[in-house]
Amino acid sequence: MSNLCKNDIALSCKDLSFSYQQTKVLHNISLQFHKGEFIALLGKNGAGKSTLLSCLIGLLPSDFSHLEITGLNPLSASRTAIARQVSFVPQEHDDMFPFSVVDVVVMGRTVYLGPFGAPRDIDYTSVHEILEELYISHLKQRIYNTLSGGEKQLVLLARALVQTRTMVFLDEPTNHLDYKNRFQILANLKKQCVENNSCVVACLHDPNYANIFADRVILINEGRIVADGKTDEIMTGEAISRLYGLAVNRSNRTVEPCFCQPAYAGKVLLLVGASGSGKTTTLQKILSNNKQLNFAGIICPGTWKNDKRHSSTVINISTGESTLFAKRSDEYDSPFTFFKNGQKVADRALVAEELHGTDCIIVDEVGPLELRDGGHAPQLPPLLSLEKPKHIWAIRPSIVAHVCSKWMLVDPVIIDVNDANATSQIQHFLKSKQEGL
Amino acid sequence: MDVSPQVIATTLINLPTTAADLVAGNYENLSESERVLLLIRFPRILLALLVGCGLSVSGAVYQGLFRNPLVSPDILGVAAGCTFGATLGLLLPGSDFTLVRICSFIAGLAAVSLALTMAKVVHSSQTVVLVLTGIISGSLFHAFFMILKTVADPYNQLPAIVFWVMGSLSGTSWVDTLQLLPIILGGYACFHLFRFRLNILSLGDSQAKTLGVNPKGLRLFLISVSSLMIAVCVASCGQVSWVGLVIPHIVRTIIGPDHRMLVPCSALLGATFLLLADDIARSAFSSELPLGVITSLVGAPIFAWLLYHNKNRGWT
Repeated sequence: MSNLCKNDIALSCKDLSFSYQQTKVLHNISLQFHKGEFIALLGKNGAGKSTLLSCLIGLLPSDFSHLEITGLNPLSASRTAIARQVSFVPQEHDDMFPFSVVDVVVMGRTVYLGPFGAPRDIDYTSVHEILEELYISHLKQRIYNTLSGGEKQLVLLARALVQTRTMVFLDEPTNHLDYKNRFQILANLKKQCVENNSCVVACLHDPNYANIFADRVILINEGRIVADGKTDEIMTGEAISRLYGLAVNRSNRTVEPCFCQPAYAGKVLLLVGASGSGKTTTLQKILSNNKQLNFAGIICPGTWKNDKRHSSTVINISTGESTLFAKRSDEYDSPFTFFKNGQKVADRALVAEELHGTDCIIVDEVGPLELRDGGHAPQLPPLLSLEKPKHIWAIRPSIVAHVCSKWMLVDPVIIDVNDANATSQIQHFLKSKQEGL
Repeated sequence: MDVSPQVIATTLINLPTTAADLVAGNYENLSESERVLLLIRFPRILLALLVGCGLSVSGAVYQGLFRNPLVSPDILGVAAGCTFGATLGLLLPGSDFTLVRICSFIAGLAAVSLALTMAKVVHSSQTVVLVLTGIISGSLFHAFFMILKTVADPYNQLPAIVFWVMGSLSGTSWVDTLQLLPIILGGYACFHLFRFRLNILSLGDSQAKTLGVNPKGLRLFLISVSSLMIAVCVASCGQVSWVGLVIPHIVRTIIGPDHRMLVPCSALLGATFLLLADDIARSAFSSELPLGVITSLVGAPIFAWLLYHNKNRGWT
């Protein structure tokens, strides 16, 4: 973005926060959009993408230290002034009176009419031009409500373009569109960036569309920007895996889920055993038997009181760093207290970006906390997306099926820790070459 | 009483002089049939046109603002308020018809104000909240109305109340009509000016905002104007059901939802419809029928037929 000068700034905001019913939905968002950029917002459902768009154009009242759309503050400037700079294509718009397509599109010209004005011939001329440009002139007498999803989206895009091409915001424009129409609408938007120097900002569901069309991507998770930059630099397999919680890798220009790739099958060994059945002991044995292999990850040996796990220590296998991870507050059935420092040590041991060359990643253990997206859960999809390493996860018998489904494991090797041959089976797993490699 | 064509013709020829007589309050110079025509029929015709226009235009505006085809103008409790006010007026000792109308008008506006204030206190600009507070206000005033009905004298006052509620244009004078005229015409002019903006408002608040229209102030203004129109209509001739709900509907099935056409066409059709309904109410039987009965009886089959005929347009 170094080649873009200051005059090209279309929107800038600093420290924007938004709360909905006392819950903070957006946290200190700061960003700048430039003219001619195609920006894709990516994130899980409920990450705050749509909310961010609505806040930026002043549809929702947000707190910020600075917010400017081409020099205007969206909360104090008139709606007309804002609407001359930014047009918005909503997600879906079905609860409309049965207006004709021309009537819908001409509403985009409202900003150029006085309060008592009605569209003039000149407005209809630009409506017809836009319809021509998007190749939907044949729809103009149709009733909007009777159109197909793709046609509706194109009509709403026409309404936005007839309003202004300076900035166009779109909330999931590819929803309800068929395979071809998705590309068509995005290609149209890209054309606006290139030919009219428009700034296009779109929430997208599929990272591949961002990959193909966007100059810049902004990754949003739980109301925070986790990454913002050029598409090629930001869209690594690890980042996307972490964002969506699904292991994916990126080759050339496409992002592909790992579960549909042959190399992924049989990559994970689930070491199954009840609490105290010796999973950690087995793992330690494996580690000392295979000094020639490059291991990473964590093991969590525990102390025991009255046949119950009392505390647990986390050890970083590569560095040997260790700290107290969790502890019961008394001897009886009280729940574990987890220590923040322990999770930090674990997180440092499980950074996917640093483990490309590892032979095997050990995670001891994946439990109910991870199934609720806590603990190590955010690290697991990026780790799974790494091509080389195999995985050994220690888990309890009751959650095997749930773990397989949550991380979309394909043909996991499942070994009971109480099996007499457990160790030799793990050795076999470590030696075996993965298919496709 | 029969009015022959010749009488109408001579009346029209003498209109300048008779108008001068009318303005001067000089009724003695008029013949009997001239009196009937000029003092009874003409104001009644004009009132029917105005009320029909007022009710159906404000119905069209309400349906657009609330984005709901099932909304009728009394959604915010105007009609309930007016009914209560009129009943109160009828029960007050020594009350004449003017007092009834004033009471009705004030209570109608009070009901809407209550609904709008409640919505403001809830701090919501959502139309759903407005509809709900309208229901609250309406049912409150309806309850007051029921209380008045139970305390009313069942032989004299109760029939008067019941007949008033069913609506009638009988007993119209020039005074009533001229009171109504500026409000209905002024209100219509407001709607006509904003008729394109009504299209935008009908898309909902966030759409309107992104299209450059600030919906809050404009909506409040249009609601106030239409409430005012409905209040004067209901105050002058009782509750005429069906017109405000169905005339805009009928127009929409014929010409589509564009308010640029919908507003003037609803005004024309509403005025015509109510005039015809009043003619039937007045002349179908020896005694006059309530207007509300006729509007429903005539309107229902017409609307059913249109709904069937225009299956693929409008709402279906």
